[in-house]
Amino acid sequence: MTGAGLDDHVAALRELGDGDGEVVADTRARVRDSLARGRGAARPAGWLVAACVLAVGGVSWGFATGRLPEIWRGAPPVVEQAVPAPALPEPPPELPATRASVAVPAIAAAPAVATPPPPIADRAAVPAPSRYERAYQLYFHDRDYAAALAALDDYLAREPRGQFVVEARYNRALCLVHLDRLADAAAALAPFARGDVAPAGYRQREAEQLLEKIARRANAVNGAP
Amino acid sequence: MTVSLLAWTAVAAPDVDDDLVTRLRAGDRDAVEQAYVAHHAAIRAFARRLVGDPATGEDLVHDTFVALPRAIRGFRGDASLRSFLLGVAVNHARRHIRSAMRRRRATEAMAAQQRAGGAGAAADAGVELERRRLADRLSAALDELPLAQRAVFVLCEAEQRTSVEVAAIVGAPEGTVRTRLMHAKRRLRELLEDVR
Repeated sequence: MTGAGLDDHVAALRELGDGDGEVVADTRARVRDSLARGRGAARPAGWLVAACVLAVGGVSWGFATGRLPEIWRGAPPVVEQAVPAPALPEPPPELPATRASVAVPAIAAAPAVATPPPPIADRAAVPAPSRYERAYQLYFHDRDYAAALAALDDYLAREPRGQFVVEARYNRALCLVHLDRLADAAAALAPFARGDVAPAGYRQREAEQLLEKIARRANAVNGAP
Repeated sequence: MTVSLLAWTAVAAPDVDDDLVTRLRAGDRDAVEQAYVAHHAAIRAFARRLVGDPATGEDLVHDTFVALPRAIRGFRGDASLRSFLLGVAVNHARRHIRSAMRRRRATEAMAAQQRAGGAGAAADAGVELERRRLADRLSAALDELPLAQRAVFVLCEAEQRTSVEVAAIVGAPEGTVRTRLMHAKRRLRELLEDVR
């Protein structure tokens, strides 16, 4: 055999990448056909049917063998037990108007939706009430940005490897914006704008736009063109 | 002043992907075509390298885009649409890897028969053939790895993506990506050493 090392093999594998025009067009047509036949949507329905069959079969077996719990065999179900409360509330679609928006009606007409991003991680996995949830409540329900900032700082200090660290850092920057601490906000947003925060590109575009606004605002305050 | 700052994220000009994602979520089938046009080359290159066979790679490209209208519900916007599509491809790869493995074994058996008959002697000198043989040998070694390590190896080494990017694609922490890569490389070196 050859004396090629791993790098040579990888270089050869790299060459496999391109496809010719005919193949590209063929696959595109296949994708179109499959979607037209509803293949993309067919699979979940298939799973649903299978799940229903299993559920019906299981319940029938339970009735037949008398192994179903009492509650399933006649007693009315307890709704409160059937629907577990989520660990974190869903974020409201829009940020409610602030005190400042009342003071400046002309600007308040603009759509204000600086909604902090939802957490990256699965919310159901978060034990409630968590420090992050407390900050979330302060931000959304109490609109107390100073307290939310303190809560986020507390969360980041106590759980530096916590599940919502990235979201907490970004939302902390939003709190600073709300509090008009623009220099601090700019510093907090800079790593997001540079794309230095994992996962790559998280809120990068929004951070860049916020930084541009901060720069424009600073120029306006300083009288620069 | 505070109010204008609050509206910052709202006035952000949506880029092409944002618009595309919105349309995909709304079930717009033309949006899938548009996504195909924009991203097929990257997905195809990855699919072929991952499964190690162009024809099976094409099937994986097909499945990735067909799955997109449903999969897009899980798109959180914290990575690019292309990264998301690569992740969808990884999730659909298992079946195709098995299929490529069977195809590769059949091809190897055929090639062995040809070599035994002397038919391959002239072609053996070709650079292209040698390259193809190296790629096949690496793909066969990759068959011995778990899918998670295989995907990370292809993304990091063959595609030369950063561990941050790969972490976003496979949905694992960056440290996990680096560990998987380390294990994959170590195992591949052993496997390739064995076949020399």
